[in-house]
Amino acid sequence: MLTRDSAQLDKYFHSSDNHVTNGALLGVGIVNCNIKNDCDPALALLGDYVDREDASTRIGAIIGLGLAYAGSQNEQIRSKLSPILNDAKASLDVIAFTAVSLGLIYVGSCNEEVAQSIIYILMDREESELGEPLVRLLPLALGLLYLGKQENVEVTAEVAKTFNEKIRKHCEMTLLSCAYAGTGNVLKIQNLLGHCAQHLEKGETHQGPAVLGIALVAMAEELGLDMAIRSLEHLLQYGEQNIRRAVPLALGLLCISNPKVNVMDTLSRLSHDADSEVAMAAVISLGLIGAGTNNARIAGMLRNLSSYYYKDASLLFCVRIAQGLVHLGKGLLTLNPYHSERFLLSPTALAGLITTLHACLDMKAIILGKYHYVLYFLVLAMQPRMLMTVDENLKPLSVPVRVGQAVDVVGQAGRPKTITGFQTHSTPVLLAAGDRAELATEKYIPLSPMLEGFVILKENPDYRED
Amino acid sequence: MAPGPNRSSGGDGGSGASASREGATVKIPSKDPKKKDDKKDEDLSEEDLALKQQLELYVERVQDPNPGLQKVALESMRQEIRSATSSMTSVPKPLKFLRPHYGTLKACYETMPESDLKSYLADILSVLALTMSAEGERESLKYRLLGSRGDIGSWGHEYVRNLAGEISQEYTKRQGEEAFINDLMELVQQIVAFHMQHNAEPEAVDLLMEVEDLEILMEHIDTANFKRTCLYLTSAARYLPGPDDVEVLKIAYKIYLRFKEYAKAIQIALFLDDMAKVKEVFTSCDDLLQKKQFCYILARHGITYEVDEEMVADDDDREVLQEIVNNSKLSEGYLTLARDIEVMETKSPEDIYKAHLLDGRASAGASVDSARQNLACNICQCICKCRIWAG
Repeated sequence: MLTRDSAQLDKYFHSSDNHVTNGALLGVGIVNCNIKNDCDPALALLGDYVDREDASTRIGAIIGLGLAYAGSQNEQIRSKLSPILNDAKASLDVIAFTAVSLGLIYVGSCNEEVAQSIIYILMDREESELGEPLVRLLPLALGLLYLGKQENVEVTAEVAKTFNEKIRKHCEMTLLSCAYAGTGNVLKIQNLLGHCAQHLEKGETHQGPAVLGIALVAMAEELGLDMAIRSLEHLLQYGEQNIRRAVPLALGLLCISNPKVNVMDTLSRLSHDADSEVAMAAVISLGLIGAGTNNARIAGMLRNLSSYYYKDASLLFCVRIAQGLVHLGKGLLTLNPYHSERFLLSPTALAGLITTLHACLDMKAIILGKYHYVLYFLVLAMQPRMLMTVDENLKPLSVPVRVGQAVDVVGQAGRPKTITGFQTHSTPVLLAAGDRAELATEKYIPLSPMLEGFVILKENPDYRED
Repeated sequence: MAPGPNRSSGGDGGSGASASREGATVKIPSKDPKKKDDKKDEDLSEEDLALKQQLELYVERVQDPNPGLQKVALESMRQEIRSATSSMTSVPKPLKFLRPHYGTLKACYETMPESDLKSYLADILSVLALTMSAEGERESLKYRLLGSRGDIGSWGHEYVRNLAGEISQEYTKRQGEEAFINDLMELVQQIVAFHMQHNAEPEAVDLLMEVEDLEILMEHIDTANFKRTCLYLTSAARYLPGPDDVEVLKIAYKIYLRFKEYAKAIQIALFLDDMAKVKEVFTSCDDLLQKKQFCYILARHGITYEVDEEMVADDDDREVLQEIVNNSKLSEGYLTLARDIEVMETKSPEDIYKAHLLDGRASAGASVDSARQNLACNICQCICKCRIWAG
């Protein structure tokens, strides 16, 4: 796969246009995303470009490395990228993206050294620079290091309290939400809601990450998710401007690749909001909730929005992105970081989602500005939403399966059915959010109790042909 | 007489209701209890009347100084209660008829000399306390601890459940005082064994969580009930505050390992983010095919993992496993899926925008910044085509 892709991408590397080569660098990262290879082809290809002169080339290579090695905690790459963080002459955008890439590579590892470097940058930079839109990526990178690690973030959070006024609360919120992401910790959600309920001084930006934080912490299980959706709707009614801009994104995160009708309606209403930033966030979120589902209703809504906003370039841009997201991978992919019957959370996938969403908090400056490629961080979360059964030689094997709505049978008496409203198909099948599959034949025994992704089937020795 | 306490309680309820309804007919409430009692006496069938009188006789005999008579009376009372409480379709008659005598029996217990009989009486008092004791008094538990340590299940499900509730209250109180809990734990053992045998695993787990000793669970798990128990444990872990949630998951992990449900064990290990446990699962399992399945699960989780020699001895096998963990199989599988569903050709932006379904106004949008449009077009396109190429 890699050789074929390399051939495809190779021709772009030799182009004379800078932007094309930068795109190719990013492309290498995307192609290698979620794949590991002992020969480290991505590092080999991208390593040199990191130290070039041109800022955008550097950024392309850095993001490429971040995407390709997310979660790998690769020492080599750290030694390549750390010097950039400490380089006082490097421009802020290069530093910001380096921090994010390191955050992705060391996601959830609580790595002291990387944390120190990022803290140092935040303390060192001047106040004027701290007002830049890209600076919000630095606390995000710090947060990614502690993704899901709960109390381990305490020390860093203490240090964060000493930062400059402008960035202190933003940092606090981001760190808190990342540390407790996917845990369902009720106290933290209440804490974040408390922050959202306050009236703001001029220029404070921390309520946006707080809203995203509510979604991050609450997405752990179904009940919490529903409750969070309700709280977010309340926030819409009583919140300040920057909260209203973040609520659609939070809704998008909670229902990612899961087009719930009530959320769809809320977002549809918001997409016609007077504040254009709210409308843009709502449109992108419509794309997120329908990501990879080919949902006809969302596609119809987006079509109507495209004709409604035909004069407004920025909103039309968002509509196009959303339309692309709805047809992600032609309906075969999902952006949901949860898998194994919504039990396990993939840290790299969540990291990619959070990065994109934090960038969307400042839509005009980042997504609609120079840094639209932040959207590509979504590829970390792209996974096929299939059930593929393979035989003992790992070759695809087609068997009949029943696919239907999953039923919660905890604590129920007897041996109740675990799916309802099912249809019988043969593998490979696509599974929507909330679906579960079970084998419709006794001939094989699955080696995994959860039928998702790749499942190896063993022949059942006790099976008798009828 | 039996109707006495009922009348007073009925009267209290009646007068309370009349007070709230201010001014509404006061006469009616005071008449009702009498009517009810009369009805009761009339309603009692021959058998019930006989039973009631029988029980009253026993109560009198228990107060008798002669131990022989006492024993017979106690035995018979026990029999009556047991045969009634083992099937709970309605309020057991013996319990109902013995209600008014609870006070007398308690007094009798206080004055009795130590003997087996005393512990039998304690048992009976414990069962009666199910309904008779005041809220928060935990008399049922008190008498149980004083009674004979017989089979707890023979008194019925409701009794066991009630005891479990009282134990958790008692436990918190004793924790506060830092008193001994050994007698409580003995009882807990019996109750847990009872619940696990009768397919009430969630209740057993709940009780053990209250007394903070989930290890006891390990003795009572067998192949019949481990699945439901572990399902309950993993689901409950979501709603528990730390460190309980981690404890619960560790127990679930141990149970899964013991019963060789390796795939579920590795999932819990991944949830706890504990690589040592993941390794343990690999080394405990002997089946290579099963290990390949683990690798698929790890690959989906997206973590970087190294398969080392302890997990798989053979080099070639190790390579195969490492390949799976590295997610190299993903592209193949994805393309097979795409071929199967027949979506191999890529979509153009026009297909996505479905401009032909819009009203004519779209053409007037020529004033829109074309660079932006092209950019949007490109991003949209590549998102769609992605993964077909991605390794």
